[in-house]
Amino acid sequence: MKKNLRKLGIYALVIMALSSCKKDSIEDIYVAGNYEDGYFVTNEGNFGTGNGSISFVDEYGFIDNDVFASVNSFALGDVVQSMSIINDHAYILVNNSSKIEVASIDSMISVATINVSQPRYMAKVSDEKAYVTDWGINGVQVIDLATNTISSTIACGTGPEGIKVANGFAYVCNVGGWGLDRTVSVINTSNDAVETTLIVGDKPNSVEIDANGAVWVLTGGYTEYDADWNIVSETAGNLVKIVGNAIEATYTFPIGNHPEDLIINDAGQPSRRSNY
Amino acid sequence: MKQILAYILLFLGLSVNSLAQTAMDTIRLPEVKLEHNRLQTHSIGTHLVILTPELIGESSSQKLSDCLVNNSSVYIKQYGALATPTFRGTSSSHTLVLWNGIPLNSIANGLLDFSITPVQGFEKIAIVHGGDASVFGSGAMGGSIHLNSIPDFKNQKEIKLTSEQGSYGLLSQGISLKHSTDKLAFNLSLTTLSDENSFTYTNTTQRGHPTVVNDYGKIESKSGKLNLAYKYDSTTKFAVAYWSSANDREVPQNMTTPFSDAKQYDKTNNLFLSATHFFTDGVITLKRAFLEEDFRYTEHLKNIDSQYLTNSNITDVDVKINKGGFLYNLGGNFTKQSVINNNYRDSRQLEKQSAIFSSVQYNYDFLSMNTVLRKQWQTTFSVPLIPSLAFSADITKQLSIRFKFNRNFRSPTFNDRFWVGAGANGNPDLTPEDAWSKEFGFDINAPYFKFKANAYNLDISDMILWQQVDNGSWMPNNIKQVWSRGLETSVKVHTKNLSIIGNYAFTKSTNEIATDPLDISVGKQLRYVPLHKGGVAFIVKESDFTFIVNQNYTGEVITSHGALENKTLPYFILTDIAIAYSPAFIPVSIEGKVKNLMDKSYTTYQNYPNPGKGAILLIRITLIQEKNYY
Repeated sequence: MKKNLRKLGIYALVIMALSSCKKDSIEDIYVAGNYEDGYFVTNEGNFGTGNGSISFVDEYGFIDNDVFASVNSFALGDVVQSMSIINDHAYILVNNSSKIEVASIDSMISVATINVSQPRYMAKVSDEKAYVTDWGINGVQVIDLATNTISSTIACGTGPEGIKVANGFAYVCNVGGWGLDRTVSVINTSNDAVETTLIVGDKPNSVEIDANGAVWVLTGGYTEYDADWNIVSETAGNLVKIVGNAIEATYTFPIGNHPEDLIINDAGQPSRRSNY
Repeated sequence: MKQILAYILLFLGLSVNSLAQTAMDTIRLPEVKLEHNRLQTHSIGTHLVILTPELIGESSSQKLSDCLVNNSSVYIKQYGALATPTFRGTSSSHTLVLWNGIPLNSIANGLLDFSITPVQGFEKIAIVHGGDASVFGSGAMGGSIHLNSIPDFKNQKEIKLTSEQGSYGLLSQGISLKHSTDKLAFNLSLTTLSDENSFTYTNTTQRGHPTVVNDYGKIESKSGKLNLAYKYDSTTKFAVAYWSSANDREVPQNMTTPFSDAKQYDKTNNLFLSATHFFTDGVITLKRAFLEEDFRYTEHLKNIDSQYLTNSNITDVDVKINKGGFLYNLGGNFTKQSVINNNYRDSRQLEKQSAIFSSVQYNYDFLSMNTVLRKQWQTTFSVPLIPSLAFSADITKQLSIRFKFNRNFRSPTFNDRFWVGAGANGNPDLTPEDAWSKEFGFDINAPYFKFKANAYNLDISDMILWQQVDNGSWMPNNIKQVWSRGLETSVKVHTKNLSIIGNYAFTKSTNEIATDPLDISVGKQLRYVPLHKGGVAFIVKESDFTFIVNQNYTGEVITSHGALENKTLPYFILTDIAIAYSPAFIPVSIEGKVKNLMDKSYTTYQNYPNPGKGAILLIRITLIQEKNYY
């Protein structure tokens, strides 16, 4: 089992493999069949061109590009946002093509296409169900994993982004989409209903669960500009600890420091990956 | 107000000073052909192709992009709602488009969209392959396209109505009025175009490759052109041209996306005024132009609403003096440009530029030589001296050779420098792109046979490239270096009833330096530049009928470079046919066209479909026609 490969190392490899494509996210995966002992890389592609793709890097570092299109005779689509492995299937979220491609993980042969609006990230709830955050509906699409169809939707805040499931709940970061939001929607996964909405700070973008089951949310902070693009106001980013669906602690970053993409190490200790 | 006054005074001054000499539009002196037209004057050593009204055609819906595809080796890239021309392996912003000598490219983004530019209303279209920046300024790097709308004093009257209907929801109506005497020439052309673009195509990017209808791509376009020329006396003439257009478009996305709500609205208003005065040994031309572009792009699903309003105020003066076998040409240009853009730093940007160029031309027997030097001043960056040296020689009556060596430049656009937002930032420190060009060619002009061949070498440095920088946003820098070289040929054979016109271009355009440590495109052909492109047209005239078959070949293009192999779009051959019936006994002509006769599925830009086979029926009624050429 090759779990949690070094993410930044992968990042560099991806760029080497496909300089024209911008990497968007990496899922740590172990795979069997044709694509075993390695990892997948999602290549976002050039926006508006429809040339997003998936690469596979094996344990020796050999790169197999376009692994989806090469076996499926149709294009993966425009802006490959993220990919999740659930129940031996790859769920590839293609943002600007408004779809999720479902492919067998060992062969990459497509088994279904799920039409959505502007999918961002996916989280497995159970063997039967998963959630997908979708900017286009300002909510979560509930995916029936048996039929690979949408069974229902759950309204959240504006621009639902990062999502993680733990303790019988899903934590959805409402980043604000093209605007501003400052909340996390906490969804009870047994009845697909929003249990509570927590105000965590401007533009929450990512969430992780630590080794003790505590939920950590990273907010980026918001910058407001006037018509001439001068900064009118700026708020700080926060790292927020949630325990028992309530905010237990908030750690604030300096103003101007806009953290995003929270990751967690094998020991379950969170760290932020980037500033911009 | 001061400007207007100065302008009136200048015009008055010119007309007062018009005390008759022996002069005309073109004075043919023993050594030098004196033309007030700057393009003609500086055509020595230039690979120039002129499209006459016959070649331009008189279809009101015919787009400039189609006209160029059918009549030249210019490569037109079509994607979404845009069609932009490229020359010699450069990009669309390296093509300068001029209207009566005035640059038309958007000052915001450097482009001009040919998919909504109708050809009706132009008297002449000239295509210059290769750079001409020493004479025409920024942007004329790969080539330039000259649209001339000023009518000649030909003594004719004409009222013409055209109506067109075609496949996929094309409907177009046009009226054109022409009236000219030996004193006054006038033409008015009004065109409306509505095109649903509702063609069907096989969507190869979707599961099962379904056949789908392109249901989002409607274009509504209105265009009006009014041109007036007045000959005050044998030495002085004035011209006024006004061109207004309004276009509303649905902008389709690539075929991997299920829907689009993108819309584009463009309005342009262009006014041109000129005065030309011939004196004993020369000619002076003063031009004023006011250009306005009002642009809006919306995509509500993505929260995009981008608008800009550009204004250009151009004054151009040109003096030519012919003395002792030498032609001296001195030109000056003063331009004020402003852009208001909701995505710009400080929302409004204003800029002034002034330029002078001087040229000495010498014609001796069979040899002609032209030297030009240009200096331009810009408020925010410096432009190097731009020289040009050209020769042509008539070896025999039918064979001439030419050579041109020049420097060219392209100024960064307003977007390049002042854009802010949507994850991108302009770079106010950009400098102009720099290019050195060498070309050599020959022409054969026999009675029934014309042949043109040209080889060129173009080195571009400091080319502007938008790149992702460390903080994830995009920014342009002067870092790219491109080497373009190639061959252009054209041939025309004509007999009494048959004309065969062919062209071929070989273009090798490569990236010369790595723009980042992971750049794998060094030494490789640039994206979207076909190595081979060519076309052939057969035109047969038989009594009242004309038959035209036109075939065009576009070679494979690279869409993205790979470490092992590149991704490409395949070559394609398109065939168009047309039959026109123009009986002598009634003033009505009917033309039927089939475009893409073989129903080829092709793309010029990755994942953007094009129409298959389609028909167009054109009916033209001439209400009045009198021609009396002197």
